[in-house]
Amino acid sequence: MKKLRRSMLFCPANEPKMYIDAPIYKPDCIIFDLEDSILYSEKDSARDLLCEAIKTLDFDDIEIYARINQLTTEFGECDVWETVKAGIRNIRLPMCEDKQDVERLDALLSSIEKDMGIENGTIKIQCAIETPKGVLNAFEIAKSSKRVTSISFGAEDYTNSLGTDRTKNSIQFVYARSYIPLVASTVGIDSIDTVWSDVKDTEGFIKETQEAKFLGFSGKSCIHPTQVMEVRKIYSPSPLEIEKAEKIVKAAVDAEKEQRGVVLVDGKMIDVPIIKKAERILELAEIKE
Amino acid sequence: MFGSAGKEGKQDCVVNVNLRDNGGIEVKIKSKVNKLFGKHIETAATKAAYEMKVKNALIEVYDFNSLDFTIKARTKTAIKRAWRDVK
Repeated sequence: MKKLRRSMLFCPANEPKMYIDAPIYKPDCIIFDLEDSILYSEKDSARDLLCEAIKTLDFDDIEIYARINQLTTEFGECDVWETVKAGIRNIRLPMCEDKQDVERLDALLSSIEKDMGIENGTIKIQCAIETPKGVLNAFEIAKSSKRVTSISFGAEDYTNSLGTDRTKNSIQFVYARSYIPLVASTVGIDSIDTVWSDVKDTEGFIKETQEAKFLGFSGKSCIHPTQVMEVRKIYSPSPLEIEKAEKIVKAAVDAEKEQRGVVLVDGKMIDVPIIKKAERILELAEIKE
Repeated sequence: MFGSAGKEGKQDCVVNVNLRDNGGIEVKIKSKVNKLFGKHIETAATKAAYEMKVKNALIEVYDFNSLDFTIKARTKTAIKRAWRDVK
């Protein structure tokens, strides 16, 4: 079954209680942040805490990421070495602007994997696209390494780079939020939408998450547990959709068994795109085939 | 030869490390649950020191209901900061 990445909850890596509280809300992914939310003077302690937590705690099937500092900073490479050695298997690369950024991380991961005696390609990458240049290079970035499992959009740095302000109607993100899911879909990876910073504005968050789903994003970045619950609701199919999807998938399986070319459901002919959509609905509903 | 890490917050702890030339590992603990978990906290701090190849140090742990992984992490960071202090 494909790994779902509907909700990605960001947690500062230097807060011990986050490691205990965050998994309770069952996000699909947790990103422990070593970058923006950590003071310069606490970069070392955040990294050490993340490493010890990863060695000790069982996060079950929640996908755990380390958001590292940029590789051009004094912390970046150490973040990768230490967290991977501790057991991190997913790295979020911030401010990804071109394929060279990914290739640099890819090479570093290969040398760490060799050093640790683990299979090449084990460590996966999520590329954070947070600048106009990154958006324009998104396709190159997405296909630059087999390690890239998702690309995500970061609106805060994007608006800074663009020299504009973030507004609630997100008009300035129309191009980026349309293009990124398109790229991800073409390459066959996931795309994750930006965070909604105003935690108190649940209505705004819901509206933006619904848009993200319509645009084709696989999931949404979250900064609060209540947002995780809203994302789950929005991305979960309705009971009626599930029932219909189960019928379609069953009919397709039966037709294949009986070597029939035509799939019929309630007297209507069903074609491949509809079967694939039904399978995707069951994936989102977390129903194993 | 001194390093400190952590903060006074829920489920966190402050760890002060004084690196010494001899005397082994000595752990002093201030915690509301010292009676119940003092030995446990001491073990976590000592284990972290040994993992860092530190054999002689005074480690002070001010605990605010922290779990093992936090005690170990804060001890390791405090040791690294103490090493930087030496340099």
